[in-house]
Amino acid sequence: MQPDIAFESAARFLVVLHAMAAIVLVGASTHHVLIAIGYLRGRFKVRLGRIYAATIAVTYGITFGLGLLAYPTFRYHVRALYLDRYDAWASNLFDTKENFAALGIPLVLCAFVMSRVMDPKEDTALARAYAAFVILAAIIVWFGVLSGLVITMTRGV
Amino acid sequence: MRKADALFVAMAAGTIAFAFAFIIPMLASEPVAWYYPLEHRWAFEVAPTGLALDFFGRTLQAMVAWAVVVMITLPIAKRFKTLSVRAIGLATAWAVTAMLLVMLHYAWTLHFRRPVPAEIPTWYQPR
Repeated sequence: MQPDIAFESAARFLVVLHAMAAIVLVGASTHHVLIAIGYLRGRFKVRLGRIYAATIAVTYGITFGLGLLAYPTFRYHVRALYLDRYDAWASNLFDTKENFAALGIPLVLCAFVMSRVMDPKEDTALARAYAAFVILAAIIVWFGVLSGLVITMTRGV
Repeated sequence: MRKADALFVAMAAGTIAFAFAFIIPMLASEPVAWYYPLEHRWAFEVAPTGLALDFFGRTLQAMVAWAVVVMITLPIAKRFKTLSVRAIGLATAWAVTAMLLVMLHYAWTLHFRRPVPAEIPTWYQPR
């Protein structure tokens, strides 16, 4: 008898929503990097930076949360029954992606909080730190989106 | 210390705590919460006895460590008068290095992993 896994019947819909949130996230992350680099070059679009930081905090949470809901179905039906047997590299890539995504959480939270309290015109040292966190978070987001596409092309839920 | 500086120190310390709390069950064979998706149950153990996910448990553990460290560091940081540019640079470097080290560890370990596939059940229909 086929096992009953949490959110299995909604897994495909959850992954579509996960992808939609990731599209918004990757766009906002890329724009946020440009804003943060602008702080280092003397171009201070502070309000826009705050909007992108908030957008990223919300969409990162939504993307991550939807991924968590679809994960048990993926873990059994996709990874355990197929990828581990035929495409182990995709299993490993998925686990790398999920671990990187979790590690992005404190970076996104830090960027969000700092965008609210710092003044990049006055705080040049904080602006450099902010840019470092924003760039690392964007690298994680881009890696997650690209590897997610490759894994889904190999085998989806 | 100014609010922005104190918050940054707390956030950087929280980031380091998150990174280490996330990886510690893997390095030190510490128990962590495992979810068994086929049995719909949770277990707090070092190694699973069947198909189980430790990702939920590790993420939760790391988020708790982040919250605790931020809450402890913030009032301590506020007691200091100023934060030098060098100190901000060091806090950034430590946080980013901790992240990169943990990411590198996962990338390296998982690149060479040989996963063990589950047994094919009788109901399984390949698509």
